[in-house]
Amino acid sequence: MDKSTIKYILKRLLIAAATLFVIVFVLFMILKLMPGTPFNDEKLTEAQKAAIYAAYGLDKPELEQFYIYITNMLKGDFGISYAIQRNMSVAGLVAPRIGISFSLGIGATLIGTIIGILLGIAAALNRNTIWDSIATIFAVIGVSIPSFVFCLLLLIAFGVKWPVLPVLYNASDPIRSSIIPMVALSMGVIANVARFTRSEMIEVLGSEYIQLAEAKGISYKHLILHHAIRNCLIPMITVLGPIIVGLMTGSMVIEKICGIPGLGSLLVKAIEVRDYNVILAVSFLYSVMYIVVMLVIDILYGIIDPRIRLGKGDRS
Amino acid sequence: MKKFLSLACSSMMLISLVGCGSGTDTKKSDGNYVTLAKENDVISMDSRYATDGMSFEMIAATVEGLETMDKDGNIVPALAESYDVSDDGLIYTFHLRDAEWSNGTPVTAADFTYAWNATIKNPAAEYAYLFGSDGACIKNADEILAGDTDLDLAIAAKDEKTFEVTLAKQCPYFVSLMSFPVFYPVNEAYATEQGDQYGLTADNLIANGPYKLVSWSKGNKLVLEKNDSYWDAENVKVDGINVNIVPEASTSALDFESGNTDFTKLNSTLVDKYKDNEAYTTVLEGYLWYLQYNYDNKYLQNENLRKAISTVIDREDLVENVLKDGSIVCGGFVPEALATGPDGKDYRESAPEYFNMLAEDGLKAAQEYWDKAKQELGVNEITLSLLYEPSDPSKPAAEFIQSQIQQLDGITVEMVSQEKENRIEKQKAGDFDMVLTRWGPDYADPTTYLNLMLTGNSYNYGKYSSKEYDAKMAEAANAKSDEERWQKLQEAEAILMNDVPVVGVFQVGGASLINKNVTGIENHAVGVPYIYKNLEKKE
Amino acid sequence: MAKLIKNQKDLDEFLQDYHYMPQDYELIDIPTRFEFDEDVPASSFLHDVWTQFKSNKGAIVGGIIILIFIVISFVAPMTSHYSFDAVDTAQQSMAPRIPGLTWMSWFNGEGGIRQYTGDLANVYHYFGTDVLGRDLWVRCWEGCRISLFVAGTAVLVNVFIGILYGMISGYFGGWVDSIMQRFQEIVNSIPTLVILTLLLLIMKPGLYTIIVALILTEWIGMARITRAQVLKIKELEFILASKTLGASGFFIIFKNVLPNIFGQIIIMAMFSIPNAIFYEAFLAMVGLGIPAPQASLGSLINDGFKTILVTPYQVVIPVVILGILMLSFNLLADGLRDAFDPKMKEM
Repeated sequence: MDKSTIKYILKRLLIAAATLFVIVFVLFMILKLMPGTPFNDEKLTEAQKAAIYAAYGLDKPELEQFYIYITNMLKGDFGISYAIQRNMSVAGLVAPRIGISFSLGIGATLIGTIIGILLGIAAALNRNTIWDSIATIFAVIGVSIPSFVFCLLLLIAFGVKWPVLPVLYNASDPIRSSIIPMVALSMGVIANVARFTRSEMIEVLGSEYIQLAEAKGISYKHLILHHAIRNCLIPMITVLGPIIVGLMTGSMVIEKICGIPGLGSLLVKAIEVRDYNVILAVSFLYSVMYIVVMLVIDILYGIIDPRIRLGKGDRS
Repeated sequence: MKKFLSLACSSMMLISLVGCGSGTDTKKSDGNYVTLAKENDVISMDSRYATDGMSFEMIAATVEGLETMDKDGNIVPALAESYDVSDDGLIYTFHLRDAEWSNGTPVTAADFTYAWNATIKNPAAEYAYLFGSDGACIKNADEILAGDTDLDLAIAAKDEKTFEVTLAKQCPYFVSLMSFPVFYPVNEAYATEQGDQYGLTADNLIANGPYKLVSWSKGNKLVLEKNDSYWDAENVKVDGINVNIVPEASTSALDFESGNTDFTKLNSTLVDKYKDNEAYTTVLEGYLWYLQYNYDNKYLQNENLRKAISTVIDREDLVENVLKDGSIVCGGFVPEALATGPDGKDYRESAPEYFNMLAEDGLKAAQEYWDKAKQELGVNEITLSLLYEPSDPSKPAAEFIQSQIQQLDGITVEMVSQEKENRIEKQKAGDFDMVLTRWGPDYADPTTYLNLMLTGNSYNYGKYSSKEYDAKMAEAANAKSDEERWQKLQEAEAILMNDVPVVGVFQVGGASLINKNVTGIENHAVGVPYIYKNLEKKE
Repeated sequence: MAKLIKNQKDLDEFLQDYHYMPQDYELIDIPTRFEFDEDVPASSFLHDVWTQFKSNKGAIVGGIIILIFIVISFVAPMTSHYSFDAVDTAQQSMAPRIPGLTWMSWFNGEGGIRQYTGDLANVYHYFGTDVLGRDLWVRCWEGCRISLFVAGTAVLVNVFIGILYGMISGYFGGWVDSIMQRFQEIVNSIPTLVILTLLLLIMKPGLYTIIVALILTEWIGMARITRAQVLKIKELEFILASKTLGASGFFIIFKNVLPNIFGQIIIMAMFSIPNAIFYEAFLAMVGLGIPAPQASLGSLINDGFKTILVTPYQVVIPVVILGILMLSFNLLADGLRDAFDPKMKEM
């Protein structure tokens, strides 16, 4: 890594910190616009609501609330939950779910990526043959059958009809009870990765440098393994980055079906019941991951493919 | 490149292993355990803050109040061995039995005074209003709720085992309220020691009830173990309860089939699959779903239009064929199994039924009302919106109601689906024509419903106002005897059902699957939804 | 032929009667492996695209299936004597029954909640009925029409906003890229459900709202992929050549960059369709999509899913329709991709 790259990364990190600040501010203000309250709405009179808001400091001017929130946040205090678990610290509520969602998401991405790449390459190498069609159909099924339907079918098959795996997620047996949701989640990844790989691979195989390598007499195996695959994996990073972030922050439906205490269902629940601090914390976590992954991708791009230069006023 | 990839892969593996390794502190549950599947996690184990059914259930499983309910819904003594009432009905004296918290300290009257005072003086305790005239009518409660900080609640620990409550006015259902978690005791020494951590995890709680919470894996599972220091421990027949949090009913049904779950609720779509199963049962829940009309709408001010719409809905068809989950028809505004009158009969048994006509009769009658309404309004076609929330059972019910109303030529019903928070906001803002909304009882008395329709009541979203009705309700409140009061309440409901600002549609039922070896899952329409003290499981 | 070529006119005359003939050259070594280019007449870009597209059987099949589905989705509801919103609890959850196909176990009408007996002995619900007794044949095709509309809108939104955004951000780089990326990160950080809840305050449910919701949230993924693709090719020599020749930024973006990244983008755009369809169902649930009792494929699948343990056909049929549609879209996309890709001319 040369000096300019390090300088570039530092600059980007600074910008990322500023962006995160803006994000927290925007989110904070937007949440205040949402109708409803985090408290037991149906039976809450206006006077009671005002009293509760005062008790939790929610009656102060928005900017002051934001200032309090952000100063506490810098100290590592993300506030307390109002509606999901009354008075529990948000950090204590979110932290145990991070591990669960991360391991599920990473597992699903790994399964999905490996199978997807293999399918995609197989399809590209056997272009316009029956294998290509099978891979395409498989990929299309992967995106068309919603993951929740697929998940429930797996539960019926392997949980009830042939009971080898537990139906419900169990925090004390996370590996066995994660298999079904992981596989269900990976279906979409397989489909996307397979299609993307196929299309990249076709492009790479048609490019001049592959033709040159072929002309130079490199063996087919070597050509595919060392030249073609590597080059088609580079753009894969752009597709995979957001997928990983998305999966790691949890899938609401799958979590709901399998009873997994993950981040996705927490966020949706928090929005439904207007638990401001929980929404902020989970969204913040998501944004940090997203921004970091995007930063890593941009940097990796520069390292892997020296032709790509970013952020250096490159309109030469 | 290769190095990078292998590094990335290995670090991912590491993260996933770490992820898998964490959160495995759930205790083993060997022995005679009953496993329940529940939709939602507990929101608060602190009886002062709890407002939802699931929290009530788990609090009631671990902490006992003065009174509790038996399986038929009768109030029976719990921590209070007995109680005396003064002649004017204003002073209740409870005599506590010898009981212990699970940390070894005795349960005393001071635990009650501490809990009650802490609740009513805490603005963040939403159910504190139940101490006031909307509930138990305890002396000084209304003033404190209104912000008077100098006063104290008129309650006193006469000695360790004697607890005295003074009421502001007579409250016929006062004792039944004592089974409601907001009136449960909290051990002051322990709560102060735990500070703001009290009740947040299984380690920050003590129990005085049949079970104690030994593990709470948030969003996933609670494990309750038999509490050996419970005063009635010999009558607790199981070693403990596993409570799995499963938001999706299909999944918990599958887990029931696989033999792991002993009790799960079903949604109406699953009923067809299991209705012939020997494990299938239905219970009645407290929630009443009703239709509210907005008097700001110029058409809905017409009584005949409201009657036409109220009559045309074939409620029998709705509960039998659409909901199917044990929900029952309720055309009035007070649900069944809510309150028992002085005659020992359920309120609905002695009150007349309203809007219970079957398909064709209902349609014919509704058509007549509609024809009259058309004449009076001078219109032939109107469009009304129906606000509802997109969850079960509201969504299928609303779609059914729409199709029923549209049988009347000239009425178009526009569907406005809004998730719960928004639905409530819209109701509060008066931004609706008709709304399918619900109300759960706070205490076992018809006034928990009938008060809603008083002029100026904050839940009277449709802005209904009737002097006659208000007067009748005032008469009931000042009635000399229970019988007279009951009579007046039924008359008030009759006025309401003649004006139809609201009309009941159905009372929610709970279809569930219960393992045939398990008994003692006791359901109640009011207060704590399920009480598990008498659970038994045959091995 | 000893005429000297001095000017253009001479050259034209010379070329007019000169044709390369196989005999002009002679190979010494392996004459059999030598092939000649054909004399190809010049043709327009669109003509090229069409020729290329026509030759792809899969693409044609995909296109035809989509057309057929569009036609059925208009015709079926009109010709059926059932309506999509007629609730009849006497006919709820009846299994599919198709005249002439009753010998097949899938379509003999057995296994539902209500049976085809008594008054209903001569009734045929091709796709069965739902829990309220509404005919699913009509509802599926009505839903298909709405979902196709949503799919089309989503692709357009992706193309117009996502691709443009990604191309500008990627191509211009520098501070333009930086600002645009930060904006994207901020928009992306707000949970969709929050945006939709706020949208609920100001909009009524319906098709316009779906479009607005798609515009607000669905372009980000496409913009990201496009940007990455642009970054990959913008330093290539032909772009440099174009720059050297004085082409403006937008000329290069549309004439040089776009055709070269079109293949990958169209594939990704097609894959965003199911997302959009389920997104619409999600919108319907929060109250922004098509108001009940109208249906879309997504909401039919969501509703059918609830009964999957009892009457699986209620979810299987819309999933199969969606699957066939998706397969067709992908075949079509493959054809389009090959047809538009300047590097893929295999003549």
